[in-house]
Amino acid sequence: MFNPYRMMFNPYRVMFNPYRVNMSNQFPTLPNKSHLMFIRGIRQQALKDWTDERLVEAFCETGDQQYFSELFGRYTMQVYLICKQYLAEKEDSREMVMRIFSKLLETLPGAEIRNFRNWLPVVVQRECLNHLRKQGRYTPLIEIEVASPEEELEIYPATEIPFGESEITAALSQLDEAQRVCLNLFFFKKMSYQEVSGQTGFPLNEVKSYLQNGKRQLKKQLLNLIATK
Amino acid sequence: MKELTAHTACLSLEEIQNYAKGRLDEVARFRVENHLLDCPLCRAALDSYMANPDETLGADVALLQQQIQNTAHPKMVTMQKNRFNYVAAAIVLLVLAGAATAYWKYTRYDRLYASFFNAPKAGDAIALRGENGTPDVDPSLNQAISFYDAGDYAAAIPFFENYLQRHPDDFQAGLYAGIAALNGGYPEKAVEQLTAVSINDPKLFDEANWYLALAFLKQKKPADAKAILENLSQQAEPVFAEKAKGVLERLE
Repeated sequence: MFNPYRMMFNPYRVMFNPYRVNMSNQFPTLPNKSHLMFIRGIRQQALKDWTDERLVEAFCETGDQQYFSELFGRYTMQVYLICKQYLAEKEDSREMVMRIFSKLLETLPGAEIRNFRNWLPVVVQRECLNHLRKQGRYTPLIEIEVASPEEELEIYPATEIPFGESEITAALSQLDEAQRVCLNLFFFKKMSYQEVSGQTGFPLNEVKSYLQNGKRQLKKQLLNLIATK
Repeated sequence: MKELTAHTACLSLEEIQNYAKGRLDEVARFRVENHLLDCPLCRAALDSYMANPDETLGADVALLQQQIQNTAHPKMVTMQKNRFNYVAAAIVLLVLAGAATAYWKYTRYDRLYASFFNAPKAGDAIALRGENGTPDVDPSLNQAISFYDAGDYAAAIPFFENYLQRHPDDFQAGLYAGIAALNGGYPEKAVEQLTAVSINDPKLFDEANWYLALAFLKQKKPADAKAILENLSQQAEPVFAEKAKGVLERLE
C-alpha cells in the first residue's frame, strides 16, 4: 500500500540513494562543547596580550564579563594584599576581593578611568575603609600609601617617548636638586633605594618620594620638550 | 634610557617575595624598584606583604583567580543552563511523545475492535425458534437473551452458561454466549465458546469466526486475528468478507 510517510522518511532510501549529496562538505558542523572550549581557550589566550585600556574599552562597550575578568585577574594578588593590609583576616580579605570584583563589574562602565592600574588601589582602599567603618573599626593596621591624585589621573604612555641624551639633560635640569640627584643615582648608577639613601643621606621614604615624583616630572618634561620640537 | 618612560608589567608574586627577602640580582631588583616608582598598586601590595609576609599567599591568590574565572562567563553559563533546560524539555517531550505513541499503539486493537464490533440481536432468533416447533425456550436462555439484547452482557453470561450446561449442542445460543463473553469482558471465554461453535456448526462458521477474529483483536493477538480475517475475506459470505477486508486494511 502506498504510504507517503514511508516514502518521505525511508532511511534506506537516504542511505543507498546514489544521488545523495555529501552534506558535510556543504554546511559547517555545529560547534560542540569541545569546539566552544577550544575557541574560549584561544580567546582567553588572546586577551592576555591586550592592554588594560583595550580591555576596559571592550568591557564598557560590550558588557562581556570575560574582558573584565581578564583585567581584574591581572591584579588579583595586589588587590588581595591591600585588602589583607586593611582587614587583617584572610577570609574577610578574600570576600572583599570578590566584593570589589562584583562592584566594579557594575560601576566600571560608568567610571572615567584614565589608568586602571593606578585607579584600582584607590577603589580598594575606599571599599576597605567603608567596610571597616560599618564594622565600627576605623583604622587599618598601618597606613598604606595608595596612588596620589596625580598618579591616579596619569595616563599610560601611548608609545615609547623618543628622546636623546640632550633631552634628558634638559628635562633633569628642570627638576629639584634632590629629585635630580636621586634619579641620577638610581637610573644612571643603577643604585637601589637603600643605596641611594646611604649615598645621599636622605631617609628611605624620602628617597622613594623623590624618585617617584622626580620620574613623573621628568616624563612630563620630556613630553613637553618633544611636543615643542 | 627606556626605563624612564617605558610602561612596565606589574610585579609577580615571586618578584614581590624575592624582593622582600632581598634575593634579587641587580637587574631584577632594578626592574622591581623602577616599576614601583610608577605603580601605586604594586607599592601598596609590597608594603602589605612586607608588613605581613605570608607563605600561603600563592594558594590564596590562585583560589581567588579561580573564583574570578568561574564567574567570567555568565553568558556561557546561562547558555549552558538554557541548553540544559532545552535538553530537559526535549527529553520530556520525547518521553511524552513516546508514551502517547505507545498508548496509541497499545489501544489500537481496542479501537479497531470498538469500531467493528456490532452485536446481533438474539431475541428474534429465539422467537423464531419457538414458532418453528424447536425446543421450548428455556427460562435461563430467555433470561440470558433479555440481558443480552438489553446490552448487559456480563449479566447474561451466567444464564447462558446455565443453559449451555444442559443444552451443549445449541450452538446458536453458544454463539450469543460467546459474543456476550466477548463484550462482557471475558475474551478468553469468548474464544473458547466461539471456536467450539465454528468447529461444530457450519451454518454459523462465518459469523463465529468473525467474532473470534474480534476476540483475538481484543486479546491483542493481531496475528491470530489476521489469519482468520484473511480466510474470511476470501471464503466467507460477502457481508463478513467485506468486514474482514475492512479490518485487514486498518491492520496494515
